[in-house]
Amino acid sequence: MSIKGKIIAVVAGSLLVGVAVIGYLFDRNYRLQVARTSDETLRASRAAFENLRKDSVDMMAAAVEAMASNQEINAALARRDRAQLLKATSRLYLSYHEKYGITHWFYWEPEPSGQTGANGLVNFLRAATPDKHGDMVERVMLARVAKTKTFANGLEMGITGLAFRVVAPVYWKGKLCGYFEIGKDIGNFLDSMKQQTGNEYGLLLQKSQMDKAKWRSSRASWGKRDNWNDMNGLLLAKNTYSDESILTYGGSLDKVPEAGQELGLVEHGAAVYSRGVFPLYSAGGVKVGAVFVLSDITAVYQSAHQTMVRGLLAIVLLMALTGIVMCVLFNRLIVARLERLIRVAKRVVGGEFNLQVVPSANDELGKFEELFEQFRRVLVDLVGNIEDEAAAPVYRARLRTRPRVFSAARARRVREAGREVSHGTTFRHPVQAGPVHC
Amino acid sequence: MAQLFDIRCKLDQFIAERKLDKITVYGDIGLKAGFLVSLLRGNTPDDEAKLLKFRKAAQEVLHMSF
Repeated sequence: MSIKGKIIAVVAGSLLVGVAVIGYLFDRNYRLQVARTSDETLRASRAAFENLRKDSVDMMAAAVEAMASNQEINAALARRDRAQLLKATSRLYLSYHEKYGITHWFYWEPEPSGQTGANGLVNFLRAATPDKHGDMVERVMLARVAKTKTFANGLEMGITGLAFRVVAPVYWKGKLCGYFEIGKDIGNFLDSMKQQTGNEYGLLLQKSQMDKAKWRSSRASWGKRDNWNDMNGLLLAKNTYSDESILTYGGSLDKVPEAGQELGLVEHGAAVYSRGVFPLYSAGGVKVGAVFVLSDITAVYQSAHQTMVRGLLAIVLLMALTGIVMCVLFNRLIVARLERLIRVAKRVVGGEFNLQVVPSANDELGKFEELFEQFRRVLVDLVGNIEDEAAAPVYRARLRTRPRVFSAARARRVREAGREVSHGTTFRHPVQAGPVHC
Repeated sequence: MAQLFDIRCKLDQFIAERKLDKITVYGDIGLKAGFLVSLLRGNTPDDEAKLLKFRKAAQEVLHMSF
């Protein structure tokens, strides 16, 4: 393989490696950018959720405090007058439901006197479903408020979903007459979060915390498809996106960190979405579900992708141009001059002794050209001497026959002329390959 | 005697027939054979080693036996 070929192979190889490395870096940067966008989306969604939670809890705490000073309600609860209590509270409940999205408005009976450490309380009234009462409900928050007799709040699972709840004891004439609880279904949060962030959301609940039969019954009453078997351990309780299939998570919630987890990109039609989940903890500190975050990052994705493709093309073009310039320079500075020297060497050996080599530059190859020229002159001188030797018998014979014409002085002049020519810059050597009669 | 010169003459004839560049052909053969073809004369003494190299070089350059 010629040096030219080797150099071209090295340059081409370097270009390929360079393009591969730069392509890898671009791709890495692109993925980082997309991951950063997904991470920011997840963080923003979590922050929006937290703000909503705080606002809701503040609002509900204020409502509970206001209700606690309502003498009419407290007196009805103390008298166990369910009809009067419903009459006094139903208008308030509807108002809070419409204005603030309150979904739970419950009154609980106090635990029997002398009983401590109850795991739950007996329901006295549900404003939304007044016919349903008298059932014992065991929940961490109910047990906590019964034990501490102070305000409690947190996220808790109900029959068909999660809700933020606030529970407080109710007193009438200084005596505990029951407990008041209001709550907001977390499913309603998703619409608010969508309005705030522009992302799509899904509420995932742990199946282990749910009642299968009641869930199916609820779904049927809402006119929705039974989705109990869509995922292994989780259930999509609510979502803001039209297509439920995109909001599936096959992993285990136990492995999802508190800050949330990115689930990668998914293409849906012409759009590209980043997916992620962050967990939800109940008032008892149990991981009861998660919020699935779906963010349309099509614009970011396409922008990053276009930047990567354009950058790669620019680098490839630049490197190819550099490679071509390097090859041309290498050819002009080395290869072409070496080939010229080879041609001269062949022609000199072929008999064209007067073909002079003039150094083309003051560089390493120029020095070699100069050396080659010196070598050529030595060769020419040597050839001249050989020819002189060959011609000597002829001179001697002629001297014998024509001593006046071919004097020793003339013979010397001829030899000197030959030497002069061999050292001269203008080549007129007598032994130049001439016509030979065969 | 004059076998080297004889080959040179055949070579010249070959070059003339095919209108080749005589100097280049002499150069190629000379470099391969290790002597200057243009210096071969009728009185150049024969040398078996030179003859062999000459023929071999001519064969390699011109693909022709001389």
